[in-house]
Amino acid sequence: MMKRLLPLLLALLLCAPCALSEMERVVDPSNVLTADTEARLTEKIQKIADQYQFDVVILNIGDIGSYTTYDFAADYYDYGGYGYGETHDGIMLLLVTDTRDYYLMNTGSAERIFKDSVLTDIEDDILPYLRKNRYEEAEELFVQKVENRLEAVTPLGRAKRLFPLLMIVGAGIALIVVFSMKAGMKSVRRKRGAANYIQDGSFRLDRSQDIFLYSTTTRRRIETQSGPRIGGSGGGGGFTGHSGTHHTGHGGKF
Amino acid sequence: MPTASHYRCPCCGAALVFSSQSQQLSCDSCGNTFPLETLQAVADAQASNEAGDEMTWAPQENPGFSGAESSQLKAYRCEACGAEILADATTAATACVYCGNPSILPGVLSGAYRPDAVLPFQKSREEAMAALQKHCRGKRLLPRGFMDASQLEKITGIYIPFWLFEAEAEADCTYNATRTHSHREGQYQVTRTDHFLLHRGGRMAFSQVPVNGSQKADDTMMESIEPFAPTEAKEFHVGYLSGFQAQRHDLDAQACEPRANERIRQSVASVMASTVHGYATVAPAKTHIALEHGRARQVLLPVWLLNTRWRDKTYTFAMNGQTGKFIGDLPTDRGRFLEYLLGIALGIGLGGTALVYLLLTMGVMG
Repeated sequence: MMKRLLPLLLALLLCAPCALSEMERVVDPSNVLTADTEARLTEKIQKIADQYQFDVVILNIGDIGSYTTYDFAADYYDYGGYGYGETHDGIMLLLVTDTRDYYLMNTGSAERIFKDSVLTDIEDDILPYLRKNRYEEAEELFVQKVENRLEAVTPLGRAKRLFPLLMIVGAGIALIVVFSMKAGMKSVRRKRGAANYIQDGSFRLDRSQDIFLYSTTTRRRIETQSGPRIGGSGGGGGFTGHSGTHHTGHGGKF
Repeated sequence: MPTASHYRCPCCGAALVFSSQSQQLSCDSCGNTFPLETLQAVADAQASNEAGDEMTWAPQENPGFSGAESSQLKAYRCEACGAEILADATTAATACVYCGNPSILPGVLSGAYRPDAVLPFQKSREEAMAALQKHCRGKRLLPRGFMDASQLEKITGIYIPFWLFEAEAEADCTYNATRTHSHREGQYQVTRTDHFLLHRGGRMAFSQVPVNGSQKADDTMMESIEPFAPTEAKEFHVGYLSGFQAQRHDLDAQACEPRANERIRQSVASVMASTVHGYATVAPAKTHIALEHGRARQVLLPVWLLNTRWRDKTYTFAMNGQTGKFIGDLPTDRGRFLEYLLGIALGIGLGGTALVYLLLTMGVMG
């Protein structure tokens, strides 16, 4: 049991002791980052934390023993005391450099913000770098994507995203309004009929006959829905860590 | 040379004009008004006493109008000032260009050209000018300054000759129609379409369908100021023309029949189609119309024509002299068109974005 927990304890020791604001959020016992990059990432993550009250954690570790990536990430995050607010809002990127495993884990509000499709997008962007062992670029891109996504879900970001759609709707309404105004400038029109000159009460329907001729029948096969879609690799569903905190995430090999 | 006649005030001798308000001839000089019957009696009495002077001149040989010219142009002498009035062959009433005296040109509306009835003007020149102002009001795409800068070049009250067609239409129409039923059989959606041939026959009466009988008056413009209510027309009397211009027809009833038939056919088809209900699709197949008791009569209908000039272009407006219906196409300012287009689009785009932001901030939107 002790042997199983050893990697976790070692990793936790690397960032202890600290209050939330002083905790290390870029932990790199694998030494895949230069000091400069580590500092740059830490600064950027701090800025995100200050602006959005949202935690971003990166852990590059050589080996996690018999842990699964998601259990290890959950325990590291939960027992390390990461996350903002009562729901421990934050996202974590775990890289196991020896076995070349990765795991992206959401907690709290991140489960709503970084849905499956968003995590897939992030994976698609960073995996090519990871496969070439370009960890620094991958992690800088990861932090940037997280910041972009957080910005996009703020009221201002969401409103900005709706702007092009609202402009198209506005242009459509404007065209209808302006062309109806233009139509109002024209009043010289040829009369189609002589309805105004039909004598009141003069119309008499003397003959009315509906003759059935024939029938035609068409048959169309009703398409039935295929089975449920299979989720992405690495397990996209939620799970509960040993601490009792709920998480969601994506993971796999790189 | 024939003399252009007009009605003279028995009181002061000034020219009389027909008043759309009092429906009598009125004198602008002394303010008296006279019914047509009274003036006719006065004219008959004066005619029996008048003996004209004989002051003849030996006219110089003049080649005169060519055959084509004389068929298009007629010369009249103004009874008030003696000036020569030139008018085309279809002008029945006009005003002297020298003294402004209203003149009714003799002979133009005689014989086959004599109208059966006349619908007197009920709207005045002032009402026509006010209607032009109202017509332009609230038009946001009208070029700035059109109302101020455009000049009212001419306003003319004119009787236009119309042919009024009336007939009973006996119609038989057939339609191809379908009705569909759909139900599910296992894995299949089965749709049955029943095809029908529909027959509708009936009759309706058309009364006083107007068709413009003057080539000079624009057909579309004349139809745009409809409807007229010719039931209020009076028996023709030249006195109604005094103070207005008038044209005699240069398109006879036969030439106007195709347009009357076209309008009647359209309305018959529309009325008959309105009797078909309960089908998914209906397509007209054949329409046969037979007109019975068809006849056309010639009536002079009152129209105010207004010409304005703006930026070297003339804009023509028309008002129904009976109902006051006013029509006329107005120019569109391209700049204002774009201003409104961009203004509304940006207003909705930016305003909508701000509203969404506000609602998201307040937590009203999820």
